[in-house]
Amino acid sequence: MTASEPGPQLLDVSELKLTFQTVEGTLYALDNVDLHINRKEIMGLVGETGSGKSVTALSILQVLPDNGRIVQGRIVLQGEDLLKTNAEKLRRIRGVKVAVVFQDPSASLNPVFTIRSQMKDMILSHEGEAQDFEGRVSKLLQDVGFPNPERILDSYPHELSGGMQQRVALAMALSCSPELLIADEPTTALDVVTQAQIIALLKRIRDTRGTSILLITHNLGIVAMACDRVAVMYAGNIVEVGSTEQVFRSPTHHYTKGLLDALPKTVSKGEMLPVIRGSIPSLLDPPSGCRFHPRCPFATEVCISRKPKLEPFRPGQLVACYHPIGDSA
Amino acid sequence: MTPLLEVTELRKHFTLRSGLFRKVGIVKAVDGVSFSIDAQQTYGLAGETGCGKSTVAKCVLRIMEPTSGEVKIEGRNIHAIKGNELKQTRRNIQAIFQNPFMSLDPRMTAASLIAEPLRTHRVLPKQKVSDRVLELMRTVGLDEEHASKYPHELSGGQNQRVAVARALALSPKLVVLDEPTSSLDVSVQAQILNLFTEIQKREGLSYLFISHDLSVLRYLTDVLSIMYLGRIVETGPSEEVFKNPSHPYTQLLLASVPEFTLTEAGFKVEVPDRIEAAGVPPENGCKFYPRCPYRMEKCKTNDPPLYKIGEKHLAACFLHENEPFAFYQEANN
Repeated sequence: MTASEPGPQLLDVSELKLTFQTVEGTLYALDNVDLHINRKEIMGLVGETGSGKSVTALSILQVLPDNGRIVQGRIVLQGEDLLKTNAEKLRRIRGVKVAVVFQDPSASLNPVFTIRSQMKDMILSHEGEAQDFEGRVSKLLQDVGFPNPERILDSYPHELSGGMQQRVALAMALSCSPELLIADEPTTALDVVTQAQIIALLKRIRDTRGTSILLITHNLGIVAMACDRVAVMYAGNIVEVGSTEQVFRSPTHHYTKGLLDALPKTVSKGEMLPVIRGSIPSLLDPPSGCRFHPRCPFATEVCISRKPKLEPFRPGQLVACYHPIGDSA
Repeated sequence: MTPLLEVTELRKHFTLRSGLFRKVGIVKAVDGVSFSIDAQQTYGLAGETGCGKSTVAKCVLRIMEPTSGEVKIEGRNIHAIKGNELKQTRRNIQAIFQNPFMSLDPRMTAASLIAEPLRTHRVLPKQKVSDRVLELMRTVGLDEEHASKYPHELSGGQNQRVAVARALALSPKLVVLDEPTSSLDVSVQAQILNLFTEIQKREGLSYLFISHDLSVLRYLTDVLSIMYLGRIVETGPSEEVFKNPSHPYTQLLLASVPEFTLTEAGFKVEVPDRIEAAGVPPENGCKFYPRCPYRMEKCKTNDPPLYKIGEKHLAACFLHENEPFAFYQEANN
């Protein structure tokens, strides 16, 4: 790894398979997902709608909807397989070791309670007592960028702007000093300037507290701005992993390259943007072999019959493709 | 030559009420906006939530009556005409909105959605409508098999194509695009943006493109205006605005865009991660005053006029006081 010092591993997800039972049949949402997160690292998980980014996060926390079933795999957090952990212990891991913030902060805050009482609930439910509550909470709120925590504590969620609500959600997520913070599209509902501020804040949280962050987003720009490493998802598979700089400078999977090329950044006015032909497959009946093969201009026989494994391609960069870009052979 | 669309001193104020009758304040959603769009031009309007960009669109489409000001389409004030003349003029301006699931009637098939404007305006004899619908579907990249589908059976991108076909049905001269790709994925967004480019080349129409996504605006627009709290604070040829952002707000906005042009120095972020002491925008001064890093005493009490940065590039900021001042109209002609 070039971009960041590889710390010891914090989370190791391997061969994760997840299905959903729906009225239309079995939906193969995740198919052998491998994901590693190191300490003190911001890991980006990027992909389009329905690629499986959010259900990967929900699997880690095991808060899947009732029809979701983890068929296979391991989710190891600090040496402990979360899939083999009992419910009571899991409850103590959620919020304490792994915390999460979601896209819409107004939906994750309770509208009828003040921020103070919600933060107190959070701490009480995990620690049983709230020692030096005021001091601790003030510090947390200052950490997420509020110069006057008092005013915020007495507010109700509707009295705060979207960006402020997201900061409160972050403060609550950090209140038990988690090892891993999962941020699922944390800035999608926010304006660009607020978005940039929240991203800068996430980086500062990592730098000062040493928290690892799994940042889930569909926005490649945010990945470039915030992440040390990035995993690209397509139709329930991770197709490429590497340091952000490597993946953006020299993508090896044809899907990654297609995504980067489709951004209205590279061409000038009047020219056509390069597009990925076709559309996202249905996961009720996913394509055989490589799930990207029907849309890939370089697909061959082997791509249709056999699924490529996520394997090292360059130091620190893994790709699941039989014909990766930059492969001279 | 009269421009296709001419907006002069447009104002839209909303009265805030507490209970039924008591007025508690006025929100100046749009406060003196002027601009014009020429034939075959793409005009961009950028800004954050609540800056008034969608209100401008609504006034242009006459979905909303402005408090004051004029909106002229080919010289005709759209808010002063009625009856047949209004109906005729409406044909020339169409709109595409952000969320196709919300702008399309869920109980109508794609074909009937596209045929609706043709039927309402009776531009074609009945037996020719279905041919025109098929032609429009081909134009926007839909197959014949999609004709009988309902919005919930189509993807977001396909629905947006239906919305595009519907907007094109009456061969408008101006299409208002209000965040048309914001709810779409990157790869689908690229397809829809290409469609806009293609259609403009073929049909020679103009776009009023409203978005908060500056990279999309940079790619698509000829002229770009930046709005802040109901005003245009900077306007000019897109390339110039991006190369030489002259209003502090434009600079902040551009610095906030998740850039990933890889420079030698690597990625850059300069936006502060803390909430600045915001405060309330002054009544008679520059609205950006509380957030501005260059604020001066006079900004609190005086409203900066537009100063000429370049031939057609204007910025409303006292930092450019030494430049000559200008009016929107001047820059446009």
